[in-house]
Amino acid sequence: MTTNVQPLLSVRDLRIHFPTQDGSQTVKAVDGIGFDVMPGETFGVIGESGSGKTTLGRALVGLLPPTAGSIVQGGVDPRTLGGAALRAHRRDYQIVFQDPHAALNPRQTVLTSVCEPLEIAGGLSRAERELRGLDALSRVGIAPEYAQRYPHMLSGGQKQRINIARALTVRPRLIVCDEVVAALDVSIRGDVLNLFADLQREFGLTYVFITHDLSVVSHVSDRIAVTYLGRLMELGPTLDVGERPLHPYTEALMSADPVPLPSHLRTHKRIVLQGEIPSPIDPPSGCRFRTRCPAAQPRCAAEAPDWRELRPAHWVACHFSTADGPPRPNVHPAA
Amino acid sequence: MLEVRDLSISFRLAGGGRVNITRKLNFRIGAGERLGVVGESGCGKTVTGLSVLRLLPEAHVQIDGQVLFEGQDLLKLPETGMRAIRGRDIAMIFQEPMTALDPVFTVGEQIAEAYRTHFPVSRAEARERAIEGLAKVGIPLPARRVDEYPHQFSGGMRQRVMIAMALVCEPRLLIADEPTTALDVTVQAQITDLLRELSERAGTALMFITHDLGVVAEVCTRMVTMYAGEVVEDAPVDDALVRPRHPYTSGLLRSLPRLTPHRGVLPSIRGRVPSPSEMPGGCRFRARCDHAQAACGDEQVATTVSPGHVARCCRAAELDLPGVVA
Repeated sequence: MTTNVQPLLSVRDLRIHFPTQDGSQTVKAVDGIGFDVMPGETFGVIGESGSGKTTLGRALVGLLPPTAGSIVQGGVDPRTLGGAALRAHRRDYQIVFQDPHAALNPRQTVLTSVCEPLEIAGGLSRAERELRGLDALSRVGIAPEYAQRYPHMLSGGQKQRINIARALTVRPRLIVCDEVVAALDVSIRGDVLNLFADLQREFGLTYVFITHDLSVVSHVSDRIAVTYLGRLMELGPTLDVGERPLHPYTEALMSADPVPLPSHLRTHKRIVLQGEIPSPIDPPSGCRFRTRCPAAQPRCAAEAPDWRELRPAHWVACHFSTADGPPRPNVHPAA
Repeated sequence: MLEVRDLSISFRLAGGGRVNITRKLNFRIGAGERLGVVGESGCGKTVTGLSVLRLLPEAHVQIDGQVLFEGQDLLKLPETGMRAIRGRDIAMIFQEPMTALDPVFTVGEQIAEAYRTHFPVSRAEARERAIEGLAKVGIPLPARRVDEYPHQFSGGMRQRVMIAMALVCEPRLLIADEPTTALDVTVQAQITDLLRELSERAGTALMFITHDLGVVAEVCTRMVTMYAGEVVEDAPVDDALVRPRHPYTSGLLRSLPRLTPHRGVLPSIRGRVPSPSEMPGGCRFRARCDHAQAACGDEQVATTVSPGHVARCCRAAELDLPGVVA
């Protein structure tokens, strides 16, 4: 990646906190995350539920305000904009959600839904809007005769295509894809993922691809960021993160992914983590992963690890990782 | 041990019509065997699992065929006989453990209740069984947690509680319907490892209903592929993965992203599953199949293509279909 290209997204020490219902405590959904997304790339974000990935995605398109830190989009901090300038700016940063059914209004025709962002943007006549809407539908492979139908008459895959078309009508620069194929059956997932790839080539789109599905994120992304409890554990080129991870969490996550191979070809050793992700209300001190880490040391509780670049463009937050990989698991004496 | 013969399930509609959900299913599960039932949403796999335990509302559902459990047809048993089998000989766990547990009773009370339904023991003894059960599924401090309520457990721990409850009577068959789908991948690994270990140790047979072929590969010994309410393939797992004999199974396997080079074009299966009300005659997969011929319009017969490997496709013997190893 050349240094003279400006990042499209620049996230610095981002924190997004929510008060609990009774207001007495704070949920630290995102708690100190920083990265850049370059134009034209697919930036993958993986993490388990409670890692803060959905909150992060919403913040990236301005649906949630940062509690602290900043998100600079195309060189502009949207907090410095207001009114019409902000609305025009926000069109460039779109999001497609997980549930294709919930994201469409059941009382609106497909075309009305697809044209709605243009109506909000203003400036186009109804006929122009519909033309642009039909064009977007054809780009995602939805035939014009579907335009006047209602969501319940369509399959999940078709609905997700319509959600994509709706995001495309305003010609965005970046689309955050939040678990966009999670609700789709395996046999049509490929279609929708191929569509994202085609649209990227055609429009030079940038994607932030958020998912818990390791095989999906590994397939579509140029780089992968691994989140855990509101922080990044690791960030690097996809193949490097997948095959030679640096963080013990990434290593365990990759090894937990069920592999559809016959027994004689299944060679990987599974690292089974103990327990589950702790509460983001009261995250562990120091390294957040230490309570489940097979290689945790006293230092991990005392200080949070630095964000270190151990291989070119491959970053990790672990005291003990080296360029060769994560630290070896502790050997426990027999209990 | 379990043999399902020509099982057809249809729902009665309010207007008087009927919708066929499954048609003439045949499969069997041997003692200690772990059978994966795979297929996409709407293929009838959940309904099949429920019908084995007769958990479908009988007023609205018509079930034909036989469900033979150790030679006895469960569909002909009176409800009292069925009740003696449910939870005792055949137990079931579901996808969402929170909705399957009662929030106002402790987990210990719920597990003990399952035990006392089938065994005339004192409360104290049933409680001991509950503690043992929690320990067996890897819940730390079982003697303390036995008195806690479901909301005090995390998602993965709740699923362990469900498994403990299902196994407390030491059933011979456990039906698990997407038991790990709601869980994170690191927790899923804990639960699938646990199910496999428990099955191996106690010889409990498993009917594992899932859409995740990776999970089937890791847990099961045999797999049945369902499509549009029919069993289209039945084979040992490794066999089905390497050499699928039905184009649908092959298509499902090929659409897994990990089999395509990074950022390459992903294969998918064109078209969509026909709806139950407009099911085509002949092969139900025909309209989506790359290998369809005129003969596919005829009724397809399940044929044994190699030892223990059955496919419902008239071209199964001649086609060389790709599996997970290209």
